[in-house]
Amino acid sequence: MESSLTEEHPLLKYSTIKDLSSDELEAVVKKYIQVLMPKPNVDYKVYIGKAPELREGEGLVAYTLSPCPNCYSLVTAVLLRRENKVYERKVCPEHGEFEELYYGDYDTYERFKRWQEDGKGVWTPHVPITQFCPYNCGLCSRHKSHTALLNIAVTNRCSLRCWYCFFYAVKAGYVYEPSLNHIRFMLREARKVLPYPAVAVQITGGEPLLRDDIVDIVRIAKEEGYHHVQLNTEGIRLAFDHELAVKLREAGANVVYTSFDGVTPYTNPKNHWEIPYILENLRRARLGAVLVPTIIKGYNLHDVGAIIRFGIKHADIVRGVNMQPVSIVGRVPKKERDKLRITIPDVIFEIEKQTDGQIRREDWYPVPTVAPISRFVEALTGRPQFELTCHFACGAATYVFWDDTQEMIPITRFVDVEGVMEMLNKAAEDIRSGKNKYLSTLNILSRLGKYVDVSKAPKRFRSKRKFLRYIYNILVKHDYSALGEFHYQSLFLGLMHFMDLYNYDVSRVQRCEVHYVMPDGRVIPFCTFNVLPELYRDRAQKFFSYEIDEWEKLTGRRLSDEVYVRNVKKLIESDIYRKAYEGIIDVSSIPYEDHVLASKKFGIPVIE
Amino acid sequence: MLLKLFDFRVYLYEPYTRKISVTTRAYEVEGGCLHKLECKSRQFDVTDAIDFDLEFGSMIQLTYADVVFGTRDEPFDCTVSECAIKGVTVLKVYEVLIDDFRGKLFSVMQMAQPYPSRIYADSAENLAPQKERVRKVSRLIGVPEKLVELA
Repeated sequence: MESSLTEEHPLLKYSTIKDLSSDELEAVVKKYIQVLMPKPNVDYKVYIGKAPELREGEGLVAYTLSPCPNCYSLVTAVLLRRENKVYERKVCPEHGEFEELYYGDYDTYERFKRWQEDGKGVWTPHVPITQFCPYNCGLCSRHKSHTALLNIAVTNRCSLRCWYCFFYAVKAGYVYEPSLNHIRFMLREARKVLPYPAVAVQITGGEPLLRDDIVDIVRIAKEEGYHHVQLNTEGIRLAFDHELAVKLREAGANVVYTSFDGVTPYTNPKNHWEIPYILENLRRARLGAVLVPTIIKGYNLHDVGAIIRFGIKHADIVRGVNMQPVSIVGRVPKKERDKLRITIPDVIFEIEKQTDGQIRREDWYPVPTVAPISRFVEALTGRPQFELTCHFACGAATYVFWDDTQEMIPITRFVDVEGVMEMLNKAAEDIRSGKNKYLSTLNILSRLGKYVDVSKAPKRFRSKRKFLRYIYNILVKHDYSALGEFHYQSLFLGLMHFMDLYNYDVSRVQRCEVHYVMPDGRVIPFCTFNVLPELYRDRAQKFFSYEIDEWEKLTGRRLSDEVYVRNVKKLIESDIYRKAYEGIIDVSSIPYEDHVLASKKFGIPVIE
Repeated sequence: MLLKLFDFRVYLYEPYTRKISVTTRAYEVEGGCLHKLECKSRQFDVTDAIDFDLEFGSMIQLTYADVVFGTRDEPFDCTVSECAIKGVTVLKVYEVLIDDFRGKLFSVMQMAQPYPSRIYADSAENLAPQKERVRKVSRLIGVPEKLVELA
């Protein structure tokens, strides 16, 4: 095994381990965990203890721990209330004060906080506690939530050259592309975390569809026990390769997560032109899509209503829209950050405005709201259940339905969500304290109707029996397909705000349930993997990577040949393109030159 | 080798209220008997935070970050006892009060160089009846069940 291990830049020659079996790899790669772990006083220092003081007109919300955006040192931060917004302020003895908007509305913060529930922790940690959080990730026994969605990066190659991206192979200077056996090892490691092993995986990159063996990867994930397999892709290969969508579906892929930052070429220069073809091919393959817009103030915030309407227009194939308020990567001056920064309540309010009040702020609930469903099923079955217990500030969601007039009707208009959750909590408590579980279930079924007002539901749900059957199947039969069926009749709207160095909060990361598995088998919360990349993502991927020359020699390919060049003219000529946006925007009003300029400005060259 | 014990009472306001109190005793295991450790006490310091997490992260789902987040402006009322160990095996007994839950939890440490390791620990999230746990601990350390129960 060739490796050169220096304190700062450990490296392994990946070609020396690429042909090992997954069992052989386990013995090899785990040796390097200690080498790759962050090092105190090398990677970070600790200055916790003294919290920043509050100023006039500010109220205390809470204290927390957070890294300095410049040197990663851990400091005490204060979450404070000012003019009904929540801010985070921290002072690094070396780099001074940082203040950032943490949550755009204090009332929403308080309303969501009431729903916080914690998970059962990690009973089988991969790493012992030897350092402060978040420099000890792996997961360690501080962690409170199980993996709800596991991410596995299968390549850092990408066919796009987006101006803001720093970690695709060409920019990084190496190719990270674990072997199939290595991927199997990683997926196995992630499922060793008890009490509830991961059952949902997202295959990501780079651009995962650049791998020729992507279908095998999906198949391996299924073989390793992942019921839900989704692909995180810009989708360009899917736009031009219908067969690929079919093969992915047949291999067991459940859904495609695809970037979709807006409805115009100006707001979505990444894949505006390809999206209609991607959806068309997914439709033909019967493979669902979730649209994933990154929301940036002053860039595409004005598009959120149209994005939702676009999702509904394609609801036969679009299962959800999962918006992500921007996570500001790298070191950005305050003035610039203020132009971009947006938080969950800000997006919620904007959606209310842009949907003319059809989706209101009170229709949204934080992710842990649904934890009582898991608690109830757990009480019934006596087994730990999949549960969503991330920090209340990390995510929010609702479901919308629509009627013939295309008016959107959030689920909260005809289901008393709070009443149902309270009832389930009470029933779980009763069962745990010895009450007969069958009687408790019957009691729930008899009372469920009280919480549903079908007269306010869309027409197709006005049969109370039909609607209650959905809920019965999910709660009592624990029937996953029931959830799927429910999904097909509605559109999931989600908001997931990943942190960055400026608004980082250790109490959030300890509850994170979106994780990455690393090539050494550690399982890392999303917001340490991506927010402290030099300590986690980049360090580990670089260690288990090929030099670019070596990879090109091994594969007979060149990275420069993979760059996507867009044929705008051809893409906008087709009916598929025009029909996809019909009723959402007037595509004929956009001059061809604007299409070209938007694409080029973003970093995607155009055939002219 | 030094061993740390934590005695504390904390009221957490954020993100939800929790009232927690823990007192800890430690015993050296020798020849099938338990010998209570003599320790020196002092106030908690941030340098104890990692040991605190090691002790209570998985046991009662409480970390130093939770304490920082939850206590607002109130000082953290925690005493740290440092105990010198000569033997190999140590039994720790925790009297725990978390809201309405009151119980006794156990952990067993193996005091090997360079770091001591925990070979058994209860978790409030996955707690078997005390009798079962006492039996398990008793077998593990070779001490009669009665002694473990009374510890």
